[in-house]
Amino acid sequence: MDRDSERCSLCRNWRPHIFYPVLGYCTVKGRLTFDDDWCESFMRISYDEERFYWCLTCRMRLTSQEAREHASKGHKVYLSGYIDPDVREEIYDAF
Amino acid sequence: MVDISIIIGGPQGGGIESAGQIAVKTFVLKGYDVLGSREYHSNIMGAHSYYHLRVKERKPGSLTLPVDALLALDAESILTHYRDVRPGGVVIYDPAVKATRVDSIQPMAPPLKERVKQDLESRGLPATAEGALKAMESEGVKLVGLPLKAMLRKVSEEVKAPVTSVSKTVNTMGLAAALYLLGVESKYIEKAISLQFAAKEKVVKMNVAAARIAIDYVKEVYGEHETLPDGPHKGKLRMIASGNDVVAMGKVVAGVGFLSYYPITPSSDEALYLEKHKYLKLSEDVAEKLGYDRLSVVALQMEDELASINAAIGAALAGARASTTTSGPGYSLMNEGISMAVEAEVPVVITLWMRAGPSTGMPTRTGQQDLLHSIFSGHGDAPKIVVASGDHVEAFYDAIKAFNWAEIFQVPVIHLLDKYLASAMTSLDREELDVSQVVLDRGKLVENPGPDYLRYKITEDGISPRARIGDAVMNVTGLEHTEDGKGTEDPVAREQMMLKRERKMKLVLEKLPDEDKAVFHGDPDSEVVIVSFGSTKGVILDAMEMLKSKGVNVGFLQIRLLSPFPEDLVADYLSKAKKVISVELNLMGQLAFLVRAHTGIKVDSLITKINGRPLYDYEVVEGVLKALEGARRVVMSGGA
Amino acid sequence: MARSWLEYKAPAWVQWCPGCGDFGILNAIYRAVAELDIPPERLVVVGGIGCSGRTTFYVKGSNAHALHGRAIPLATGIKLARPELTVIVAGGDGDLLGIGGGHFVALGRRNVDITVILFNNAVYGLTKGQAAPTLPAWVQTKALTSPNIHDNVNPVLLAFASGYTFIARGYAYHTNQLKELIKAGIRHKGAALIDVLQPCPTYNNVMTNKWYEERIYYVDEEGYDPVIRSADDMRNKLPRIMEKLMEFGNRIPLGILYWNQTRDSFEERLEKLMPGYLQAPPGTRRIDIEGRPVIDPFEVFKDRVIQT
Repeated sequence: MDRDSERCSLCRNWRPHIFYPVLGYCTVKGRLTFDDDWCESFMRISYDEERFYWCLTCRMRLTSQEAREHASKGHKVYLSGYIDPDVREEIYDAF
Repeated sequence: MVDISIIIGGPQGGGIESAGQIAVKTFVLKGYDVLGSREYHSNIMGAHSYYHLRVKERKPGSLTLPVDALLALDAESILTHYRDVRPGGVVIYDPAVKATRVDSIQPMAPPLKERVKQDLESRGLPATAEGALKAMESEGVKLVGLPLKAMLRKVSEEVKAPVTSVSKTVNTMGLAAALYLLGVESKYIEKAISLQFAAKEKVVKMNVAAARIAIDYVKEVYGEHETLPDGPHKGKLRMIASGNDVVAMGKVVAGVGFLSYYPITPSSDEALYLEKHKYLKLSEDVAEKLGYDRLSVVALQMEDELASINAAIGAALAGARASTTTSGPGYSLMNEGISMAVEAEVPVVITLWMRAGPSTGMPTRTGQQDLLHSIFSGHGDAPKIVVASGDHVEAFYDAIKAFNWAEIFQVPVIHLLDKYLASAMTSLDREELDVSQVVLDRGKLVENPGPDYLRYKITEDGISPRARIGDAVMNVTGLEHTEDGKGTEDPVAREQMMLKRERKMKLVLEKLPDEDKAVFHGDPDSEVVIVSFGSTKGVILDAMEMLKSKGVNVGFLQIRLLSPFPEDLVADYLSKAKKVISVELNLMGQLAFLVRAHTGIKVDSLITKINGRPLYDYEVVEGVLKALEGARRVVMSGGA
Repeated sequence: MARSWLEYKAPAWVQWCPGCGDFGILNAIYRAVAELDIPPERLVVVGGIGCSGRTTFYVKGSNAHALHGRAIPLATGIKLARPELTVIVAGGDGDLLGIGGGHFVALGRRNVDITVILFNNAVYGLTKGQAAPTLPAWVQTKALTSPNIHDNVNPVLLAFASGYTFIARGYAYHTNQLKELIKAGIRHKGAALIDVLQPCPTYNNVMTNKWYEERIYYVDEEGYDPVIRSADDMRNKLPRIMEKLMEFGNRIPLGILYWNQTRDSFEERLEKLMPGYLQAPPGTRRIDIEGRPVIDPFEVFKDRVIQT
């Protein structure tokens, strides 16, 4: 396999930044990487686990069944998304 | 004459707030006056939000469209605002989002998607971010693509920082590019960044590097840019504050001792700002005179608005300057408490930040729909004071005056403001928040009431000496009562008390200076007079100048005191006018209703806006021109 | 030298029905505050709406008569503005547990030093005897057109769950014992509930004096120990305390049921957060110097100041 087909954005361990998904959090390395980075811990993402997923395209949490549907439509579906720990400073009093 | 407008759009939580604040700070550092407003959804993160700014040499009274620059941090921002940039203006975006289809953007409101699709289709363009960019280009907007990822990599490499720490620079890069294209030197941008992230050295370093890289890129690809001259305020010590902030500041200056609230938009930020400053160390000199050296305010989140108003009433009874802050839905819950504060003659201040109703409505959007609700709140014949502030400076002083009036007249005072003012940031000078002339008047507060004290003593002016709970044997009650506060249903005593409370309202009109009742702006002999209240002041003043340049002279009567209504003063100003136009953000024309009820003068036309977005200067101009042509009601619809 | 209880008797016609338990409670309040020697102008009785709320007019104090259900928040505002005052809430079961139930819970969470006297007769007296939140299910008092199909709330258990640090139950006609409970509640620094059972001779023909007398007993006669002085105490005594808090049927326990002496009052917490608060509380501190403010916004709100 070449490095492009094993880039972070296809990896099970990667959590895309929910707004700026050229970046994402790698749960193996414990830090952010670029979407086209590569490393030896690559594990291809699949949607057969019973768990929640994160659809980056829709900015929505999905069940596994929904995850398979979204992925089949070409949406970018991950195990989870990455939220900046300081996001609180950017959001408003809104209800 | 400098007049720059900018929109910074992106997902809520995606750095719009800090980008907006850095933009405001940058222009203030450069010596300009700035008005900046946040527009956002009732959502924690992910929905579209934007900062809308205007920069001038003299304080902008309003926002306007189209803007000179659009910074679009995502595809939705391009598709939401592509019709709001002027020809010759600039849009900054990440080319990577070009292919994004309108239909694929989940957070985008379905009706907006439909409108955008129809518009792009009618222009023969695809319903994608690229289609919107092409639409802009065809109207003369300059497209500036910033390859975000490549630039982030560059920041990471140049600063030799892990990727994690560059993730917070996406917004800064776009903003720096936009500001450079508007003629701002990087030194101001860098200074603003360091002020914004003052406590976080690494973040400052990273963002400054990102700003430089973005500016270098723009220079390289689009050429050097002409520099904007410095503004007239450079060198001054200034303040940048929101409406929420200045009201909290006013309360602290007024000596507030108790603030109760239940979280609700757009009032919570006022309470949060006050909480931040609830405990102050006083200078030795002041401490010696006051007899204590630390000032503590009990700022308390209550279990609901019923508790908020009643706790504030309790604290006021015990002698504190007490206040609560809320918005429409919370105010509805406070109604019974307000009625009690009238009956029991409690000096309590209620800050009411109006938002778009009815019901939960649009929690994060503006409106002026609670005017009549505030005046007629509370069951029974319950007269109270209602004052509306036109801008930040008025809001600051009114927050102080509200406590004075509450204590002098022993009534609840409703300070009426709105969401637009709540979240609008502006630059302020020291002279604008000058407290040297401010008086704190506690009215007939008695320190030693003595054994024969009567809380509701009938007096000529209707105002009884007021002792604190805890200083005299007394009864305070929401029941109709005799002078000693004992509940009564005696017909004569009842009438006396009703008339006593009414006398206080007459006294309000006698004692308050005209400038706190109604202010006439422009030529008092104008044939056409706009009447309005609250935060529409700035936009009307701006529109008057625009109209003047078109040869249309209008006057503007800003009504500040809504209850008791200064009917003689208002009648005086309006009776000379040939045409009266009401500008207010509610559909029924609540101010027009009041004017007619109190003066018999029928307002000829109503200019309104009910889409929850602030009124823009050109909308008032357009509305006035239509009104002059005979339109009875003009509903404005601008804004995204 | 304690004052005479007559000093607290306000010149007013006490308008309750003959045989009403309120008289007993009023008498116990007079005697408790007299024995504690609280100056009337420093005594604050906050009443709600209903028969019980009238207490504010009968006790000489610096009193406030609140809206229906809102006695607790009003009292909270008074107490936090002037923490040196003695604040008592006099409210009915409908007022404190029905319309004002949320505030009843919130007072426990805050543990403000307020003594709540719950006038508990299980009916709404002033509006013709409707079922109050403390009326057990399937009881049909003569004013009800059908049996009560709501279950009753347990005020002492609710108070415990909410965080009240002093919980007692008294009986309106046992004024001596009730007086002692009120005194202990006032002396306690924190939120105190005194649930006072009382007959309503006009509307509650089921829970009568006889009904109560057959059931009530005093826990101290059994050597019951309600006092919590440590975490260990809590572990050891909790089962027994829970038993007493839940007991309501053939036997109804009276006396101090729970007394937690380990928790700070809200005022003490405020003082910890803002040292100096108790010395210059919001109600009485001076706010001006010769009518002028003492705060300059540019000096205080530095987080908003910018040097251009």
